[in-house]
Amino acid sequence: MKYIVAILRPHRLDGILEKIQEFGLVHFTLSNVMGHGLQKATEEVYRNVLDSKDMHEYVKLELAVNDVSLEPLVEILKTGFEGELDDGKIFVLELVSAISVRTGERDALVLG
Amino acid sequence: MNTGDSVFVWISTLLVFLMIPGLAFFYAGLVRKKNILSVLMACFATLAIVSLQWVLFGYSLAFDPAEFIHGFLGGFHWVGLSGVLHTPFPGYSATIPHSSYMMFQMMFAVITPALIIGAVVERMKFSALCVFILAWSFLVYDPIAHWVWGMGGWLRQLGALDFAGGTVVHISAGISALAVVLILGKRKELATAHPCNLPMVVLGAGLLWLGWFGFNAGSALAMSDIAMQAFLTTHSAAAAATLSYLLLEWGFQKRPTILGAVTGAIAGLVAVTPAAGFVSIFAAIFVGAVASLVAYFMITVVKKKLGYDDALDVFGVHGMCGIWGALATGIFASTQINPGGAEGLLYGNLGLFKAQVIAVIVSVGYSFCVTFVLIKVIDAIMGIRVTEQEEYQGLDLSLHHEIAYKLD
Repeated sequence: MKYIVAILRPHRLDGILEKIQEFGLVHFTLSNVMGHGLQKATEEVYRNVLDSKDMHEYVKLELAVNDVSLEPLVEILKTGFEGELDDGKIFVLELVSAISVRTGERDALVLG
Repeated sequence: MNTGDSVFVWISTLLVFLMIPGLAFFYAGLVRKKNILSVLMACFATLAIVSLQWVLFGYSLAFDPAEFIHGFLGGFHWVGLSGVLHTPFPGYSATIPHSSYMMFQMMFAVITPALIIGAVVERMKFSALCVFILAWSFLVYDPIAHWVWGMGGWLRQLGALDFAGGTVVHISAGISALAVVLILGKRKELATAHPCNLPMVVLGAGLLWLGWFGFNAGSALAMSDIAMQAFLTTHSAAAAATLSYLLLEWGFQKRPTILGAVTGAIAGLVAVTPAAGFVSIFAAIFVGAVASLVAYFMITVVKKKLGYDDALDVFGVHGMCGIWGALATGIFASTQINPGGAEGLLYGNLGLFKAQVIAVIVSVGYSFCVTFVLIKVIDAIMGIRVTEQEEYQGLDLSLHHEIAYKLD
C-alpha cells in the first residue's frame, strides 16, 4: 500500500480530480497549503510600501492506494505539469495500515 | 428666509454627515483585520462625543459674536443652543435657519477630529482617544473655527480666506496628527502592517468624494453661482489629482494602484477646500494636480526619511495638502469668480497671499503646540498607548472584545 502526497497548483486541480474519479478512486483528502520553492516572490505595494511574499498558494492532495494503482495515479497527477518553476511535487510513502471508521475493514478492502 | 437655500444647506449637512462613515470605512480598510472595528469605533465615538460637545458648548465658543476672548474665542451666550433659533442669523447666513447653519457647522466639527484617528490607529488606547477628542474640540477646533469664521475672529478680520475649511479642518487635523504620533510612537510589526480591505477603502473614498460636494458647495450657504462654482472646482480638482497621482505612480513605480488613485482624490479634495468658491476651474485643476505631487512626496520620501509613523498619512495628505490649498487660495483667488473674496498673487495682489501665509503659520503653530501639550498631559494622567500584548492581539479583541470577520 502506498500513500501519495501531491503538492499542486490550485488552478490545475479540477481536471485532475475528475480523472482520479474516472480512474475509480473515490477517497481522497484535499487541503489548501502555502509552499516555498525556486520561483520569484510576488510583490504587492501599498502607498509605496513593498509587501513581498515568497510563499505561494498550493493545494495538497492525499491519496491512499493499493500498489497496482500507484503508477496510473502518478501519471494522472503529472498532468498538473505546466513547465514552469515549482509546478509541484509528488511524494510516495509506504503505508502501514488503513482502517475504515464505519466498518472496521482493513487495508486492501478499504483502498481504491 | 429662502426655502431653496434652506433645503440646499440641509441636504449639504446630510452629505457632510455621510463623510463620517465614509471616513470610517476609508480608514478601517487601511488597517489590519485585527484592528478594523477599533477604527470604526473611534470614528463612531467621535461622532457622538463631538456632536454633544457642539450642541452644549462648541458652537457657542466658535461662533458666538459676543466674544469671551477678543478675536480668539467666541462667547458663552449660545451654550446649550440658547438663542439659536430656527430663523436666520444674518451675521452668518441671512437666508437659512440659524439652527440649520449650526447643524451644518457641527458636521465639520465632527469630521475634523475624526481625521486625526487615521494617524493613531492600531496602537492608541480608546479611553485616551475619547478624552483627547473631547479636549481637542475645546482647545483646538473651537478657537481656530472662531478665528477664521466667527464674527470678530482675528484671521477673518485680517482678510484670510478659507472657503470650506482648509485651515480650520485640514491643517488643524493634519498638523495635530503629526504632534500625536511623535509622542505615541511607531506601531510594532510596522513592516507587515498592510491594508486588509482595499474595496472598503475605495467605497469610503467614494462616499468622501460625494460628501465633499456638500462640504464645499454647501459652504456657499445658498443655492448660488458661488455654490455651483465650488461644486465644479471641487470635482475638477479631485479628478485632476486622481490622474496626477496615478501618473506619478506609473512614472516612478511602474505600476498604478487603486490605493494611489483614491489617495490622490482625497489630496485634491483637501487642497481645493479653502479655494473652492474663489478660484477658476483651471486653477482648481492645477491645485488638484499639485496636491497629488505634495501627497506623493510626503508619503514616499518624507515619511520614510524622517521615520514618524503617521499610519494612514493624515499629516501627509490633510496637513500638507491643506497648507498647499491655503497658499494656492492666496495665489489663484479672483474677485471675478467671487466678488466677496479677494484678488490673489496671480492678479497682482500681495495682501491676500500674506494673510494666507500668516493664517497657515499661526494655525500650524497653534495646532501643533496645543496638541503636543494636550497629549503629553493625557499620557501622564492615563497613558495613551495600549500594552504590547494588546497591540499584538489586535485592538478589536483586546479593547472591544469583538472580531470583525467570522468567515473561515
